[in-house]
Amino acid sequence: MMSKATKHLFFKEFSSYFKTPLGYVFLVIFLFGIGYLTFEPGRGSFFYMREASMASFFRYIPWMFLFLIPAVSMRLWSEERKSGTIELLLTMPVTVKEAVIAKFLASWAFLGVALAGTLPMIITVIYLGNPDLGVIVLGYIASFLMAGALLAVGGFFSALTKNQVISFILTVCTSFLLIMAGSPPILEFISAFSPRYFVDLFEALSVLNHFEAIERGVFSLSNLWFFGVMITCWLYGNIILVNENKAN
Amino acid sequence: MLEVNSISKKFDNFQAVKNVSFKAKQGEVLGFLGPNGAGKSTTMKMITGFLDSSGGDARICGHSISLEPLEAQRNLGYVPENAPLYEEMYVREFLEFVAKMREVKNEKIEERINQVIRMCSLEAVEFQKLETLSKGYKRRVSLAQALIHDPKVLILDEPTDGLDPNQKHDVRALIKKLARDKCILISTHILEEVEEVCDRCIIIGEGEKLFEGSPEELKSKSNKGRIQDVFRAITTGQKLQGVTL
Amino acid sequence: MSKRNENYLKVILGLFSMAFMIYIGSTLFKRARIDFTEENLYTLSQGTKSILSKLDAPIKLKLYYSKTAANKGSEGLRTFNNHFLYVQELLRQYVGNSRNNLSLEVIDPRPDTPEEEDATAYGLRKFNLTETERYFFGLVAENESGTEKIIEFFDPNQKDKLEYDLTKLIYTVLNPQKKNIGILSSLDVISDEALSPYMAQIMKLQGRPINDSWMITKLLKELYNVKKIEKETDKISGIDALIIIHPKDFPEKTLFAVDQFVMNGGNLMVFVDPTAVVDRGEEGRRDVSSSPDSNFKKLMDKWGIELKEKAYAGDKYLSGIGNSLPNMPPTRMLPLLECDIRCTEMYSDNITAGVNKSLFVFPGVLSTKEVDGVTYTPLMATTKKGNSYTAMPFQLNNPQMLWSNFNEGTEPVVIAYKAIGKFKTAYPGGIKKEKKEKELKLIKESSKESAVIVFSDVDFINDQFAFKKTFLGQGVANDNSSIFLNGVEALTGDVDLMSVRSKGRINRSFDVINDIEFEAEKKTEDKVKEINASIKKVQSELNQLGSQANAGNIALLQNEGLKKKKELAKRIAVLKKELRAVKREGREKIESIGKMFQYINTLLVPALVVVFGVFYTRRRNHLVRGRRLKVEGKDKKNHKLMEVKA
Repeated sequence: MMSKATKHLFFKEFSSYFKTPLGYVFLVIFLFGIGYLTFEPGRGSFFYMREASMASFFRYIPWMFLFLIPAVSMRLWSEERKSGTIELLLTMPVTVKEAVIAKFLASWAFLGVALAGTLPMIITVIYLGNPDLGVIVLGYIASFLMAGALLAVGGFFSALTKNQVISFILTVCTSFLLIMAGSPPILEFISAFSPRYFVDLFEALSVLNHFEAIERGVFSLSNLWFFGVMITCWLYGNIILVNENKAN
Repeated sequence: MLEVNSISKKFDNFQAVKNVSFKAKQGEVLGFLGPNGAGKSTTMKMITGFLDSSGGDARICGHSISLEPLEAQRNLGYVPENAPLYEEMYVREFLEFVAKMREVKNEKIEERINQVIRMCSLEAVEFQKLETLSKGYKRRVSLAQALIHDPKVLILDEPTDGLDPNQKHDVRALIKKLARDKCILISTHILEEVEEVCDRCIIIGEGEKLFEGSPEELKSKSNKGRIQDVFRAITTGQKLQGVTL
Repeated sequence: MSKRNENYLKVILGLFSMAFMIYIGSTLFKRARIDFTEENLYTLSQGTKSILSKLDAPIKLKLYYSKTAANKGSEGLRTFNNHFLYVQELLRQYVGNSRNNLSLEVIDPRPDTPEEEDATAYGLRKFNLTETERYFFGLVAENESGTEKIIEFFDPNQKDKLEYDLTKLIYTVLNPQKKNIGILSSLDVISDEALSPYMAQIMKLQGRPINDSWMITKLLKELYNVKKIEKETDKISGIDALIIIHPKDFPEKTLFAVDQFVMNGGNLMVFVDPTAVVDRGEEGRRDVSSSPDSNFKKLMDKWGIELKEKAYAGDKYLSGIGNSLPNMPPTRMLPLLECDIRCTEMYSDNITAGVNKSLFVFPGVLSTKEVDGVTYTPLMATTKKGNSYTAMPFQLNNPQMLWSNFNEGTEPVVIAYKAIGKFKTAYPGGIKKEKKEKELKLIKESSKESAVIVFSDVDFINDQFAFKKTFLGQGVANDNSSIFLNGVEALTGDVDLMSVRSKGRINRSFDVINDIEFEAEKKTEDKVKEINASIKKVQSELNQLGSQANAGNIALLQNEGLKKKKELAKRIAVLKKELRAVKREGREKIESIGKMFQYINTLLVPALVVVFGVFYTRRRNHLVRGRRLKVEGKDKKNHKLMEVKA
């Protein structure tokens, strides 16, 4: 299944998040931020709603991811290229494809750890009331899949440029577009000058729509397909870009 | 052992390497000379499989780098220019990672690491973080990672660049020691180094092979025995006093 | 073409094919899905599927939703947007299960378009958002012969009943005629001739007794053909459902008719009551009016539902506040059962779904004696802490005594049951026929399934408890009337329609917080009582003093009175302070729980991450150092060995 080299590279990459302060900074910001957003502001707040569900938690996940995932993904390839270690890596008996996948999986697993860090939230709702655990599990699955899709986008842009800041900004912009693709203002804007099916196509591309569809409690093959295709295609682009840009 | 057949590389509108061919046997140290930008590094990157060639091929222990890259890369150790390393890792940790990636058997990893540490005299720093090391040590760690799986072919891209004379001496000594059972391709633009360690040398300029022969041959072309003059004459195409090509 | 351009082309092509594949996939795989919700929100029930399978002609569904307008609207419309997505999703399930007989069209009626005109013409509810934008959210179902039925507006608060409403809509398109309802009662719930409001007003002014129908039957008449069944009846037929209110003192032949009605597959709703407060009878009568009488009980035995005698369902946590006698201060009253979502959510039945507020007075206790082939579903019950209590007639007016008869229970006490199945007759030998009467055909066992619904209270559908006067006439006071109407509606439909269960709304409120609030509320109430009592005490003492007053001691007494008043003021101040403290305590407790969870979720885990980070980094250093020592030790040994060799 996974080649040995992929496995070793995966573990090295995964553990590297815990060997640099960056990983910890990310975890702290993510966990504090999502907790703060869930509890604090006004009328949508978890404690104000008094509902034993994690809706007010998952509502902020896409927006946390929008800024934090590019921060994780920006260094995936930019740094290797900038420091030149990419030469070391790609002259080892490992293919570009394997390397891309291993790095992607490692960052995905790291985000899994970050999501697992929100476990006290589940304990909170179980303590306070009688939540629908099936829906909560689906919410986590949806968050994890979305993290994968956005990471794949980030990996792609990280391979596009050596500059981490540019990679970050491009990823944020593209992620924002993908998240908002199904939102009314954007659809209305597009429908002003393009045919109906193009609007439909754009709506089908919306990460947020698919995320919310799962989070509501129905797991549909079309949602899974969406995230699967997203990840595969962006990773494919990632592989091509690494091949193309590795020497510069 | 190492066989390069009319390899060439073309970037958009620029021919970086033109039909370069050469061979090297086991126990041979092949010097790769040329001015900056002559295509030395590009050629080496193609041989290691890091870059795809636009034409021609390289064979390492009989395995074509373009057709069976993984098999070829298994028999290859490579020290890239400037010796890039994963700076956040510890020396031993890094060597362990490379050993695993290089498919060294688990039970042999510890032993191999100890061997290369001794070989490259890294004992003093083996428990330090890479980012804290001096340039010389980094160079040696890079050499150590290239040796960890005991490859048959070693490719060293300017391994002594930027080192002080003592360090240079150490590295050269090490290369000589290694040369006995390996095939080493070493790029440099320090000409004394060629005399000191190489059995044979190749000079390239603007992507083309301009000379192939032993250092002695090279030296003999100058009546004063000044290898620099010969190098300049060959690479610039100028006629110099006392040099007969 | 250079390789570089070729690669970029590949990337662009890859992204395009991604968009294409996603688009295809989103239309192709829509139906392959798993519903993870506990309430099965996105799955159709068996009853709906069975009704859909009976479709044999196309029905067109037009879902009107002003999407564009909603998106321009306020944040509050977001809930509607979510509800729209849910409605649409569920309708897609309908279409998917209809063997292509249903077709769904989603229409966004923009202002001043034919679509908007249509929506208005169909009678969908219209909301004006701005001067130009109007908001529609309704459904039209149309069959080929031109029958059209609508849901004028989808209310997000009725989310759990949505499937029932949709199925009912399709059912009524299939069966469009108005249903007939029969009412049999020992009370005057339905007047013989309909009085015009004008006449009623005149009669009232003249002080003549008006024998007016109950409001509930008036409501019923708007939706059904209502027929009064006389107390003496031989045969009940020609109706789709029968309602029996307060069954007592019916002659045997009427009972037999009811029995046979059920044997014929008729559906029935019965309201019995251990104490019908509304049945006052003549002035001054003191006895308790209760039903069913022993004759009707025989019928109920065959249906397998039993009312416990002289027992009442009570629940401390649902008890209402009221005055037992006109001059008494309001207190918590055990007989008033204010049912909210806690009473119905466990049973998720359409009849009681979404019932948030309904009031029962002295409800009885129902139990079942299972009959083979009949399924029993509770519709409403007390909470787990409710229990049944008994009371002698003379105790009924004394709230304090009733409380002393009551203990907190562990099991909900059921106050409404639904039984569906095939029943057996209570008259296996028939009844004695009077002379000259036609031979009555006896059915011993029903061949068709029928449904019997029993409520253990009569009062709750009376005007006094279900309606209130508003300046526009009578208005609904609570959900009591909807329970009644839902019941009738369920009975007149198909048994399939009745088996479409409400999706239910599982209680997701913060139980822990609710408990604290309830405790605090009770403590507050006790404090208020204490304050009132001490005021009263002092007041009566003052009165006493006043009555003792005469010329000689008036100054003294006044002095005494002033002192008492001062004391009282002090005492009240202290008690009020305590009251505030009690209130604050409850609030603070809740706030502190909130803060605790906030801290856990915002600070604890990040702190743990930092601790782990420090620990891990140290451990890494430590490990490395440890190995260094080990290796150094080895090296020394080696040196020694070498020295020895040398």
